[in-house]
Amino acid sequence: MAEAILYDSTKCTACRACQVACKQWNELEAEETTNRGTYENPPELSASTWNKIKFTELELNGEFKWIFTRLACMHCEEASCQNVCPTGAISKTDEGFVLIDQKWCIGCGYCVQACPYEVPHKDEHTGTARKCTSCADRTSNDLKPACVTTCPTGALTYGDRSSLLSDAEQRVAALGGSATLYGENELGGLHALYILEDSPEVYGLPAEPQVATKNSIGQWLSGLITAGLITALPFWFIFRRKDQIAVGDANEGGAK
Amino acid sequence: MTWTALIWIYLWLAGMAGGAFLAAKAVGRFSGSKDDSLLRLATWLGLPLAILGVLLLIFELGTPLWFWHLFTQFDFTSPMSMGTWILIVWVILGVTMLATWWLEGKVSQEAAASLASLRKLISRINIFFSAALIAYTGVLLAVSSQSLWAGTILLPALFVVSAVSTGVAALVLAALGLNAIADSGMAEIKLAINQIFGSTEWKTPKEMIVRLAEADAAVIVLEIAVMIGYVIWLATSTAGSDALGVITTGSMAAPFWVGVVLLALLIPFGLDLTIRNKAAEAKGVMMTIVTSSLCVIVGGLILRWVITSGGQL
Amino acid sequence: MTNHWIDIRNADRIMIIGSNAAENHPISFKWVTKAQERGAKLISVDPRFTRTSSKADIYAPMRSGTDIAFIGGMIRYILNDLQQLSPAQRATKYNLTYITQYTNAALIVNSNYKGPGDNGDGLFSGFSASSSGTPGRLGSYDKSTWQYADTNTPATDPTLLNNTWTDWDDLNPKCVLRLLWEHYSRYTPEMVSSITGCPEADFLNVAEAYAESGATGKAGTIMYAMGTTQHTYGTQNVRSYAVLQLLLGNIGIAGGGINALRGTSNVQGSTDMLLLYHLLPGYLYMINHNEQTLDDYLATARKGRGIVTPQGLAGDKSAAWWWYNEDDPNSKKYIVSLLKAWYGDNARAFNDFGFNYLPKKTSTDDYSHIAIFEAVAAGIIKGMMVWGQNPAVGGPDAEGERKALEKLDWLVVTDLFETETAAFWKRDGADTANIDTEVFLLPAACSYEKQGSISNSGRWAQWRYKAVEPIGTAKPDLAIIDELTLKLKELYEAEGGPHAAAITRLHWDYRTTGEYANEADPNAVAKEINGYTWDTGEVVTSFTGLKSDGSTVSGNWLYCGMFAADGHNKAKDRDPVDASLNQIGLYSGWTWCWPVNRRIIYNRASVDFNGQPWDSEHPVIKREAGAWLGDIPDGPWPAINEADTGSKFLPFIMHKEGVGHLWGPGVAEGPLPEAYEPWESPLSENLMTGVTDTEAKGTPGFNDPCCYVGDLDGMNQRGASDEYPCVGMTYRLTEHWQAGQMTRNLPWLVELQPQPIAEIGEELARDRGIENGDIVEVSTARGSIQAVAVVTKRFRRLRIGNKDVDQVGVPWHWGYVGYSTGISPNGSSGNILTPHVGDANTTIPEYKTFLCDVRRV
Ligand code: SF4
Ligand code: SF4
Repeated sequence: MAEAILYDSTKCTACRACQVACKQWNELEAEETTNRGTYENPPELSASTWNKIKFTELELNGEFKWIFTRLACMHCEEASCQNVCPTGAISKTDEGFVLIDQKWCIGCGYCVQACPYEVPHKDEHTGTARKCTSCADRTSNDLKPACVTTCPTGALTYGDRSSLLSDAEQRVAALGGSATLYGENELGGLHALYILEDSPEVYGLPAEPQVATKNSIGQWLSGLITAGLITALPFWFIFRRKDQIAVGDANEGGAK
Repeated sequence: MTWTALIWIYLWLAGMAGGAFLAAKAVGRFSGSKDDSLLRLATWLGLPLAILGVLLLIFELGTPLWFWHLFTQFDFTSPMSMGTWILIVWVILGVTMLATWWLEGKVSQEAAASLASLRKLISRINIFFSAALIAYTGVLLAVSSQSLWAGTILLPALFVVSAVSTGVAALVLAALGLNAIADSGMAEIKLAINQIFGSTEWKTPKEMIVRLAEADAAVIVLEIAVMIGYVIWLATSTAGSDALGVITTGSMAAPFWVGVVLLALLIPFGLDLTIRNKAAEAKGVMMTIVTSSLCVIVGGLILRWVITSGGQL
Repeated sequence: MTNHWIDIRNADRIMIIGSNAAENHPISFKWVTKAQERGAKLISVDPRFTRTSSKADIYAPMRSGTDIAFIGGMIRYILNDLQQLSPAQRATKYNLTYITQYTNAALIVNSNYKGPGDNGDGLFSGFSASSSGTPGRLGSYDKSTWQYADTNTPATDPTLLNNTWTDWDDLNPKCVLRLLWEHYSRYTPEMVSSITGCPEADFLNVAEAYAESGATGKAGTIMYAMGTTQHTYGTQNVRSYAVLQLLLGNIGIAGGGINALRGTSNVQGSTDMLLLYHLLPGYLYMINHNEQTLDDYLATARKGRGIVTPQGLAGDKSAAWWWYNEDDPNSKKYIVSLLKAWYGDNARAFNDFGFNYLPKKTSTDDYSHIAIFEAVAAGIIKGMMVWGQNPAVGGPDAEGERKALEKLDWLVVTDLFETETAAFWKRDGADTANIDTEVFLLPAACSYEKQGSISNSGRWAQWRYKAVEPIGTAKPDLAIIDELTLKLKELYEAEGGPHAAAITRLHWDYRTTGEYANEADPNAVAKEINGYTWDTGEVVTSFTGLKSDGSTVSGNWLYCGMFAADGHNKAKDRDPVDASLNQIGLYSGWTWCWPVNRRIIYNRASVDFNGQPWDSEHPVIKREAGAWLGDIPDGPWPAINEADTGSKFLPFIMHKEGVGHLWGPGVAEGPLPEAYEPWESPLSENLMTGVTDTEAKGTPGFNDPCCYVGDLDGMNQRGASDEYPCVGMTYRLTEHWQAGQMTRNLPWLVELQPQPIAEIGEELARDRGIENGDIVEVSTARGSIQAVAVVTKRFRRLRIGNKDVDQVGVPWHWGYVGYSTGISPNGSSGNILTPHVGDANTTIPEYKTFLCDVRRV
């Protein structure tokens, strides 16, 4: 059955317990960071940071706000990473979670380039691409993902995707204003759902994410047609005077 | 940065290899010459370049020893998977062609004739694979979520044109190199080349070299057009113009303007113009052609660098 | 907490002030969030916009240290509202019965009382200043004029009780509510805004929204922490919350209360046991030097604690005062049981149960953290044991305290890691050649490596079990104390020494069997804390069972009842079922809390005279068929209307007059909180009274008149606003813990907050040429630290009086030892900056407001 993680940004206090719980359960190294004039750290998701909270200070409708967003794998139904993976190392579980098989991934880095959310990263130590697994090793044993278990405020919940969706819809309706539900239909439906106080862009999430392989045919045609044209036009233009040069004519230079 | 120098060098090498082959085929087709020694040169030139590129690619993998996992999968949605197979086929076809040339002088006339027609057939098939190969160098990037790569569908076009341009330039340099050897006293090397080519006829007429240079100028004209289209297309979207900013005004601006715009496009085009309507023997023509070709090749490398790195910033 | 964590979910209004609960008590937001989902409004009042503010419905900024003015303005808003409304409206908008019958609103005060506005000196009647120059309090009060006119049977104002007034003049001029108005009418919105810097509109927004919790059936809670208490007038800050909450009928009810969020997981427990110098376990008074016998002690303890019976109220009995019983005072039962626990067979009637084994304090001297360090600096204290504390980072004027440590002969530090305190002699600039201190570092086990109980802010004693064995030679604190005490006993027995009996006569046998055959067993300690009958060893199940004849033992009478008759420890209970009325979340079967497992204290104030809850949706207790349902009621007696004349118990049984203290005559610096300037203030004039700052050491009336000021020549310097124009404050971050020894050694946490920061507003940054991420230096008269500048809109420039004031925020977690250290060699702890001054009542250090400047390095 389809499952999901629901993140309610309006309940998140950016305590980042989830960030640490993720590292603890998944045995991920701490990164060496510096303070860059913000509470947010590490700066980006990485091979050893699979889940992080983004801090944004901004003014919304004339009111100062400090808003928080969770960044981690969205477990897209139409998963770009899976589409472009050349070895078939990326697969989807019955619950809808997208996993990278660490024993099959060759570390080509294609999923890194393809993911619309900049999620997977190549791990220098293992050589493979790594990212949030939705704690498949926990969920398959009737535990919730580590981040969800630890979240003190209830900003993170885990469960059946459709019932989370209906919870989320109610919450968004209760919040009113410009509150949005993100992830219901994006990329065929995400298995990480978001309750946002405002539009996704405000939170730095793409409003209309595209699957990387969306234009594949167009891109191939662009290359192939151009290849045809480029070999035809200029060479026809220059070489159409079929007069002189036969290459062999000059071949007195070869050693005989 | 996930994709480093090894990747953009690989894209450049593979493009040059496929581009040279396509150019040689096109010359053969439009010049109507029966002589395929230019094609032979292109094949001999392209194969090592492509194979070197593949080695670099494998080296770039996180787990290079598991590269064979690539061959367990045939996946239309993954350009990298497609590219793997295209390359494999392209290499196999190329090697077969080389074998036919090599064998030609060593077998009976009839056998040689059928070898030649086999080669002709293969070379025709390889037109498609060469096109696919150079298209792939762009599609690999374009099927992604990096705006600089995926924000238009013109990146494969750009890389294809550049691949042919660098391919021609590489052919020119290789031909001039061989000619220089032919004109020199290095008998042993000449013998070795005879052996390898299976033929003694491997000198390229100057006239042909000039023509190739002219063709490259024409290719560059198209490349400029595609580049302009690419930039304008990107500039129309927010994400695209942000991405474009990285290469036009951001940290990749210097290599873009100097390396790509000047070195890959404007300078070689200008140089090629100066030799227009000049006799091949005229003073400085060959020098100009060499310079222009070097610019194209180096510029092509810088183009891959700027795009590959800039897209990941 | 008067209430408990889960209960926050029952609130309709939540005001978080002097606390950054979201960051420092993250789990509290589980319940805050639940309340918000129910439609509660969250109000955040804070000098800086925090992660708590980010979740708030209303945010109001204020200058650090101006809570009394802010809350005073809210109190004025309510008082003014009460007067403006018609008697009928008044009774619907507010719980008038509660205000008049359950607080001392109607009681008549001594006619000689004068308020701080009356003489223009900002002082209450009865003040005398201390001689200047020596460390100590600026002054003290004779509190006699603050008492009720009739101290035994205070009169009440019938006009107020009958709700027949429309004008303040209608009320008795000395009735508490009228005095309250006289005091607080000065706290106008303009005045509040001028002192606090909070824009008037924002202030009024808060006042209005929070006053709505005053309606009968509505609940408002105040969550506070060290932002409230760590001021020279910290106690009065809390007092102003009490006044506000009583006016709104918010004490004793579900979703109400004054909720102190304790700074560490077991602060409540350590306070209950004997953390504070003026108290023995269970809040028994510490012995004074002139109390040479147990009777002397009990006489003092009893003094002034007789029954006070207000006249004219519906309730007519306040003698629920648990301490008072002429024949056999409870206080005697508790102290004798305590002495018995400590001295066992050596505690006998003939030797006053070992009363004189205990040390005694002078009645005036201060033995708080600040005073102790002054004594160390003065060479009076020669040896020191620092246990799970790190004053070299966490103490006020930390560099001064580090220097003081150099004077010690020996120092024992018990901690998980080497701390800055243990390594004080290695710090930058230490003259090692001239430091003779011998330092011992004892490795301690962490909380997961031992079992025992902790008492959380909601007073719940919760048993925790050992998950893993301690690393290396680390031992639980209890095992270390056990070993040390037994060794000391042995040494004193063999060699003697001053007052050796205090040690040699100790009853000390906590070792049991198995795992605890050679180490103290926390279960044995818990049983002793609870209490048992000395002869039989059977547990005593309630403090009412404790005896004054030495036949019972109890280490802390408040915890008596933690063990059930069958000997099982209820702190280990984990019943997940909420059996409370309407499931208001008492979870009474989940662990055990003091007193007597009462989850919400003062809960008799949550019901009317018939014992019916004011809020039928969230009933704490309820009278039905002659019995109380719900929580353990605050005393078993029937509801006021059910009881016979003369035994109608008033609800606030902890007060001798049985009613809540709007008027609080016991606090050091006045019966009502008055707005004073912080010890270091950006102003030269107290805006409320016009009193100017004339004394180098602090001026009574400008500053808190009774605050504790440390030695100016030694550790403490007072800065002036021309040199240090900004208001500085220290605080904690979610990602680090206290002085950092536990978190700065954890890479995962260091990754989140790798470096010390100084948070400043954009205006100040612009003026000082500071860019976000620059290294800056923050300096005060005591010292300076370097940190990364976080330039943010969350810090605003405030308009104070006719002055623009900027605030600078520095977390104090960093030091010079461990995986993550400060930027400047002194470790960048915010406490390098804080002064050695303390609260008038508790001497808690002033960590939250001082003058500073900031510049780019
Ligand atoms: S644990 Fe919950 S509240 Fe804390 S940062 Fe993560 S999602 Fe937000
Ligand atoms: S978010 Fe990225 S990594 Fe995760 S499933 Fe989608 S495409 Fe794959």
